[in-house]
Amino acid sequence: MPTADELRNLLMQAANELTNRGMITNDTAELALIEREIDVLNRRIARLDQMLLLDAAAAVADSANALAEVVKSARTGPFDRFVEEMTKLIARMRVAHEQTINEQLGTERDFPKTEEAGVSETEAKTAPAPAPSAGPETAKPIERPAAPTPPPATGRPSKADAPSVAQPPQQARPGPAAPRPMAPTAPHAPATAELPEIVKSTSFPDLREEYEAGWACCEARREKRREIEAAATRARAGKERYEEVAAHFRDMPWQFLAVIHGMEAGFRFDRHLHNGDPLTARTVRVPAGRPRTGTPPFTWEESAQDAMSLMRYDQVTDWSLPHVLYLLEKYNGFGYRRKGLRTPYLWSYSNLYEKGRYVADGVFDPNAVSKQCGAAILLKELL
Amino acid sequence: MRSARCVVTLTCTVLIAACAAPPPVEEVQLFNRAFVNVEAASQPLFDDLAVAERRLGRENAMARAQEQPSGSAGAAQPAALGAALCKEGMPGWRGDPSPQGLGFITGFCIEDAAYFSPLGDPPATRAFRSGVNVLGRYSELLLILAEGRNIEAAKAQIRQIDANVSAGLALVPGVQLGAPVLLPALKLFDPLIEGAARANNFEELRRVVTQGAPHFSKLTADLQAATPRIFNVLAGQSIRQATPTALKNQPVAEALVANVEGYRRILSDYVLLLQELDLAHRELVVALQRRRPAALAGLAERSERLTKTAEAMRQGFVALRRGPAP
Repeated sequence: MPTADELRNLLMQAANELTNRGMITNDTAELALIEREIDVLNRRIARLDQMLLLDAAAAVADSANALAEVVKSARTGPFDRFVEEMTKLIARMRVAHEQTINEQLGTERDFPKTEEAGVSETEAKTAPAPAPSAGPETAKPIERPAAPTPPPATGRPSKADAPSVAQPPQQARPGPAAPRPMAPTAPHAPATAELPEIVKSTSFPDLREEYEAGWACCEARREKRREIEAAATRARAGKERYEEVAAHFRDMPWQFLAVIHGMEAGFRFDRHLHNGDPLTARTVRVPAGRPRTGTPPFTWEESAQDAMSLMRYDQVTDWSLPHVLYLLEKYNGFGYRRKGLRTPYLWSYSNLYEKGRYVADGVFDPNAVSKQCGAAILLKELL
Repeated sequence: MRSARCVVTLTCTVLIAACAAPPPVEEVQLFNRAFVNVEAASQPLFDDLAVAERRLGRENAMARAQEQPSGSAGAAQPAALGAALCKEGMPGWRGDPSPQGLGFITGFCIEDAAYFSPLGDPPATRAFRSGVNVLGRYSELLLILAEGRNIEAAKAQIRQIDANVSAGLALVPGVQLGAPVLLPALKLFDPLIEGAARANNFEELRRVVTQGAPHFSKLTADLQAATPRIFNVLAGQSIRQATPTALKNQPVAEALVANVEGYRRILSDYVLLLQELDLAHRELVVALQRRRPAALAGLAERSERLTKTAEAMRQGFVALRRGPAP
């Protein structure tokens, strides 16, 4: 079987012979026949030319790719290796510093990881009051926030302006204004008995009213005040770092990041925000293998940004309070809601939660009590 | 404080790493000039090839369509000799069935799209042009490493590291917060840092050239090997038009011959340019591996020859455009 080149040569040879014959003949009929045959041969040759050209181009493309890989692998920074080593060294210094601070503040006891196997109420021991903190971040006096003011009326008037009479939750709804970041709603709390039933939907429009009502009437349990205040102090201590990461996500309030940090990693800056795994390696527990890029040890900021991106918070534009509560509950899962219960992830340490929690995957203990401050309560403390 | 000692030790290691080998700046600059000549000569060649390839692709598409039997529109046909298989099935032809007859293809073949669109290069031309671009990026990389164009950026990296180290050390209890830790030392050792950067560049240059040499040679060899195919396409139309009737007409014959021979000359110059470029690169490789300057006179002569060949190729194009003398 001839190769394409050989075939082309044969065809071209035939065309040449015919052309030479045509140059010397005087017979017009013969000339016409010759030219028709030459045309057929030329068509065949033309297709071979196209095919052979593409084959040659493919070989060039392969060689070019191989050389391009060499170019791509070049280190054009003469100190790149040095800079990498120094960056890791600095990250290790920061981690060591965070560990020192955490040891001073007794972090190991304060903020248990969410959804860890807990204890039932009969075994629960009263948590000792948090030790007085000696670090600079807890030195500030705690200021209670002023009474929340309703948002400016941009739609229909808010009935939250009504004074002292406790309104039923459905009338305490603010106007349909554009979502404002973390704007608190009605200042007066309806009675818990008047709260709407738990909606078993996981769609935000269905849940908005429930979040607004819950926020309006939730109050911190008195015996948990010190723990809540300690948590808020820890959160405020990291405000600059939260703001730095939140700045990468449109309008994300730093408080949102702080609450998640507290819930998932106990405010430790030497742990991944995703799940509390150490920053010295990629995450091991779910979600495993994060961050995917970069080399460990990671800075907390790198990890936090990755965690927020993984949850697609870069696509969130609504940072209103009900939506923030929705995002927080969604972060932890809607398992409690499906059972018709208020999630302790939001409401623990408040009047909206007493007992009942998942003590293992799929295992619900109606008597187990959450030992972690709920995200909504902490958020309320920070606003 | 152990971390602070690590920082200083690491920094000093980098500074002391400067070796005495002089960077082969002139050799790389000469090689780069050689490439610039090749590239300048290649572009008009590829521009002509793009036109010719596109025309060839269209003619082949029309010929395939005309060869389809009537009533078989859309049916998948076995690939005709040398034809690209059309996934949608070979479209037919409607109109005058003669080769230059008026008509149209009754269908659309995605594989032929590049030949009917004037946007960008058709596939083969695109690959050749990209191949030369890669040679250019390789040459530019060698120039950056040899001339030290990245050194100022590298110094800025060191300064940033210094600031980060100072911020990190400030967290350690007992460390006085003040001026950046390394900056005073850095200013004192600035010439040494520059020397270290150049030394690192030289080592990277050697590594890249050693690793890239076989790929560079293969690429230039493949570009040369493609030249007969390129010739067939560039001169193909004139060759097909050189029928007995056309050749019996003196002015027509002269024009056809001038076109074919014009491309032959241009492509011959092109092959020589590629061969010279490859030789210039080989000499650079030898100079780097032996850690001493190459015969600069030899490189300069080669560069001079390349410049002349590139100019000859440019003149060839001018003559081709002008056509045969009356």
